[in-house]
Amino acid sequence: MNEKDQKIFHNTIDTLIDSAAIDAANEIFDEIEASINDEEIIFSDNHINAINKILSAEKHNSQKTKYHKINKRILLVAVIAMMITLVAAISVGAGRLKFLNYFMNINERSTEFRSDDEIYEEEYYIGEPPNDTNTIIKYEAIVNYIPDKFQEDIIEYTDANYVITYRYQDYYFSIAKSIVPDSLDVDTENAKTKYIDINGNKAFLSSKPEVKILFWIENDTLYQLDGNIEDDTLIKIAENVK
Amino acid sequence: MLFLLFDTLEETMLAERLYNKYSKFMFQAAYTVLKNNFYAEDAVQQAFIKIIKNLNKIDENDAKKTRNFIGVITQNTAIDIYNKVKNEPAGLDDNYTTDIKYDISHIIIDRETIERLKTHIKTLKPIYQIPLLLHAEQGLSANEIAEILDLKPKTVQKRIERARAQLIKALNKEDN
Repeated sequence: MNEKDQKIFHNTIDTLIDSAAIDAANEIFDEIEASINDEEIIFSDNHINAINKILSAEKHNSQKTKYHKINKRILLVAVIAMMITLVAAISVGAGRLKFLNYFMNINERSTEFRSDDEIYEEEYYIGEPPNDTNTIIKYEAIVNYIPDKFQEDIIEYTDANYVITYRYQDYYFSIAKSIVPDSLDVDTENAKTKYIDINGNKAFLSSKPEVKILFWIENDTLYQLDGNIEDDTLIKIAENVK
Repeated sequence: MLFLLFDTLEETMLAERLYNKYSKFMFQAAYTVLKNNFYAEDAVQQAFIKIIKNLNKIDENDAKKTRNFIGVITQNTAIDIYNKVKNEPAGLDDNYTTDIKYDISHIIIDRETIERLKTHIKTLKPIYQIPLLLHAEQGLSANEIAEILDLKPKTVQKRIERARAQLIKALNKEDN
């Protein structure tokens, strides 16, 4: 018999053995089953207690496994829900922007913020307002906190905005109040950005060493602060601007 | 949330059902080996723990297969207890060798051969019979059997091979 035939024959013998094993197992345990005398088999109290303990332990382990499985499944559902929410948030333009700004530094040259308000034409006046009763200074900023040694430098205003700048040596900060424009470009190139709270209003802060920009909307008015002073100082000024 | 509970609750109920149905059978299977009530009860308890760990291998719809699986586990447990009590090692037959090539070319493939094999399987030493039954009758792999019997997979594989070799040797001997 060649090798291939040998292999086939061995496989056939194995099949016979498997078949015989089933018959053998059935016969062995049929005999044991037939020899059971129900009346003679009475389990001791110790045995019954031992079995009950085993079953209790199994129930307890099953509970633990169940809760573990439940927790895993809840976690999975939560992760999936978060992923869906994330995708939904990112898919909406404004949401994506807020999301990106919230979680990441914006590396684009500028970040555009849009609002529903219209853009108004502006005419600038520099210095003291003219004695023209027709010019209404609608957006005058009242600065209640000025850092030590800073002096008022320039005031620029129109009927749609008001900008006041303070300086001390090479440092400056400007405060602007204006009507809310339709869109606003903020320089966020290489800047760290985050949202903060200014007097209960959500404010956007873009910060880099050479300039910090902070703005928020309050009572339909846009407040903008920018300068090359510390973030904390800028924020403190902002909290004291009316 | 019921679907979260079902599988583990079902397993607990299955364990209870199996014990209620097979406890006396398990006792009898153990008693035939140990001939002692105390040790037989001990074997039933230990075997039940093993069965609980392998509930996933039990198909309640196949009553005979389930009974045979429980019987094999119980008898194996009883044999382990027997060997411990008698202080006998459960080693292999040291004189056994698989080097001898048995001529299988003359074995006739028929029902009579299966009957002869069945008789020889029933007379195999438990050390070979039990792994063979778990493999051939229950369809378990060497790894699964190793886990149940607390052996290494290679040991299980070896014992199954030796069981087969012994059966072929027995057929050869009869024919000669």
